[in-house]
Amino acid sequence: MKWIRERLPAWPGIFPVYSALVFWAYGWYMLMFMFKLPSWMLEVTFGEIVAYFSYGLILVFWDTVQMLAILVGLSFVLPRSWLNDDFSVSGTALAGLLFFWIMFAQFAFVGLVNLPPSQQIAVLVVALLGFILAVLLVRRFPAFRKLAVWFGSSAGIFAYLYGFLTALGVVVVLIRNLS
Amino acid sequence: MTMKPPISRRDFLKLLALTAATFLSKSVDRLLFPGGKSHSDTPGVIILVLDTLSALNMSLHGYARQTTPNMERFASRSNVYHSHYSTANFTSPGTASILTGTHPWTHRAFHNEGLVSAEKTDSNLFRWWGDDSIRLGYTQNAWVDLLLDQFSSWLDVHLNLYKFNLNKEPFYRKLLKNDFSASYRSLDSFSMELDPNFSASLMSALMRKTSFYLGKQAADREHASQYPMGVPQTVNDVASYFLLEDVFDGLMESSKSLPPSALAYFHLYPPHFPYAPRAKFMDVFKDGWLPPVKPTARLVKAGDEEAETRIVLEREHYDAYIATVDEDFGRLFDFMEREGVLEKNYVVLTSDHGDIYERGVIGHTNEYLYEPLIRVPLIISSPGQTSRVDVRTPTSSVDLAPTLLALTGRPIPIACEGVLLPGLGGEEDAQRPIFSMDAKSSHVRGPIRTATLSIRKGQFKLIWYFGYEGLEDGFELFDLENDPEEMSNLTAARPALFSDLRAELDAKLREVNAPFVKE
Repeated sequence: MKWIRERLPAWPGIFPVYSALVFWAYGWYMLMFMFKLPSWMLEVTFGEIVAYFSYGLILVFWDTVQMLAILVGLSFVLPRSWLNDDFSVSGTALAGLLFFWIMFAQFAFVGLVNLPPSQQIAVLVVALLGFILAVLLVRRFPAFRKLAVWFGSSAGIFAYLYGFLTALGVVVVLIRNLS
Repeated sequence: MTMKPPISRRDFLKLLALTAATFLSKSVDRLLFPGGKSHSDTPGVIILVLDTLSALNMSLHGYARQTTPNMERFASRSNVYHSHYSTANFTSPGTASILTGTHPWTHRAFHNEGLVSAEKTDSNLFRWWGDDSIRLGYTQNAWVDLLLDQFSSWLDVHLNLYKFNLNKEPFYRKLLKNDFSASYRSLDSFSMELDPNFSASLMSALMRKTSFYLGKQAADREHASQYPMGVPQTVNDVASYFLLEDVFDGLMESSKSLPPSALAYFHLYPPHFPYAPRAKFMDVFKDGWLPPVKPTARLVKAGDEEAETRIVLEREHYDAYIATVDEDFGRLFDFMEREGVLEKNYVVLTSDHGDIYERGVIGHTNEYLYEPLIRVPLIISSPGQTSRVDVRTPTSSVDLAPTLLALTGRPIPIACEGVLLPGLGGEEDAQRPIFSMDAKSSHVRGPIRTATLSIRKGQFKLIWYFGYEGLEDGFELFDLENDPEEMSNLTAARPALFSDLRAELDAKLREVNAPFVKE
């Protein structure tokens, strides 16, 4: 257990990373929701829209947990000095990159799925190189490091805000499904 | 020592209240439906809706390609309605009209994934059927499942959408079944949409896409010799794939096990896009045949037309898929004949809307009401019927519910806007107006301001486009008897007729908008 705990980043280091993930994942969801809202307003009541929003918030919360698990998992399997020791800063940078890669995977999904396995591996290698580059940037260049630190701490407010909204969403979903 | 009673006082009172409520609800039903006898000795009804089946692509209705030989066999012992119209050009409104006997402006389910308005939900065929015999609903189309979910209080059996699929129902669907409509719209159709581009959810959508595509690809590989274009599937939101033979086998089992006097509604996804014809039909329609070249559809901007080569190819695939469905329908028909299902039930074959492959347009996600989009098959076999009856008078999908109720000895509710079908209790009335509508861009709880409306009256049909942004309102008038392909717009050549039909359509629009317009 101690060995596991030592390899996992400490909570103060995880929070900025999670906040950055929240910023990207919930921010993207809000943007998409705003695009969809006008068409829903043409046909359903305000209460229904609140319900749709609530389901989405819970799903996005689950997304952020999965994304955090990927970053924590990386920190767990890589040598400590690569990611674990500087998780709050490197992890914040990686959160942005992870968001980018997931977006790319969604956009180019059909093409990626139909690539021959060798090319799929090549795409994966490029993605990993991108992760390494991001870590190097925040380690070697103070300006990038400062930016990552500022972003991780500033995004904290979103973690609280969306955390609260998600909790309300859970209540809405529970009421609708248990009543 | 006192003995504990087998039922507590509290439970006894609850039971008493429940019994009284049940009695009262049945009494209310009897008051509303004074015909109120038991229908356990009347024939049952099996409605089979094949999604997106245009009557104009069926050899049964004179199409140049032999797409429906088995449906023709079924027709040989049925009433065949040659000018049957759906009230709309896509699933939600078309299906809601079949199930409620009302037009889209009444049931208001005229958006994608549309729902019947809350105050109209209790006006539906399942409720009118009554609870003295089984009512069953099954569909592969999620948009139809939204409607069945709305009517679930009056469904005794609501078969799961995934029941005959190759892939399994996702776990969250079971968890959220009490709130199907909202959870489906939020999760399946929006946040985790399978559209190839961006979804609102990041990880979950990506995982859903991955799971679907890998599973589908494996199924495609496994059944490649039978389905060279891939196994049949639904479009993005439901993410299901299946073998057509499994689905029809399921229907056979379900129809065989139906108790007497049951009402069964089966709504299958094929021949809806994406087309998945069987190998044996892949090249059958590569015959070089081409339909007449028609003017470009009114709302298509110059340069936005679909390429003619693609239109021709998609039509070929559509026809081949219809032939594939027809082959399985043939098996179902033989089964129903063999097992005596046709002797005990009214069996209905119809569709919710059609598809178009001409005028620079493909499919049915558009604003048009040309014949290929709204003329659908309607074939009704009565118990014991042995000969064919052809009805050429225009009829509407709103006529189905009242006809089936009347045929089985039930009263026709006032809410129904349809009339009895000719040959099944109704009279032929060539001058009766038949309406269709597309109003996806109008507010469900407001007046219809942007829409395409059509009226078919006698041999003429007027289409009215209004409210579309950046486009002038306009009309198209066709003489369907002398110009069945809708080639010549007669608005200028027949001003008096145009004026009359326009006035009738305008009056109808004012009438249906009246409840939403503030004085």
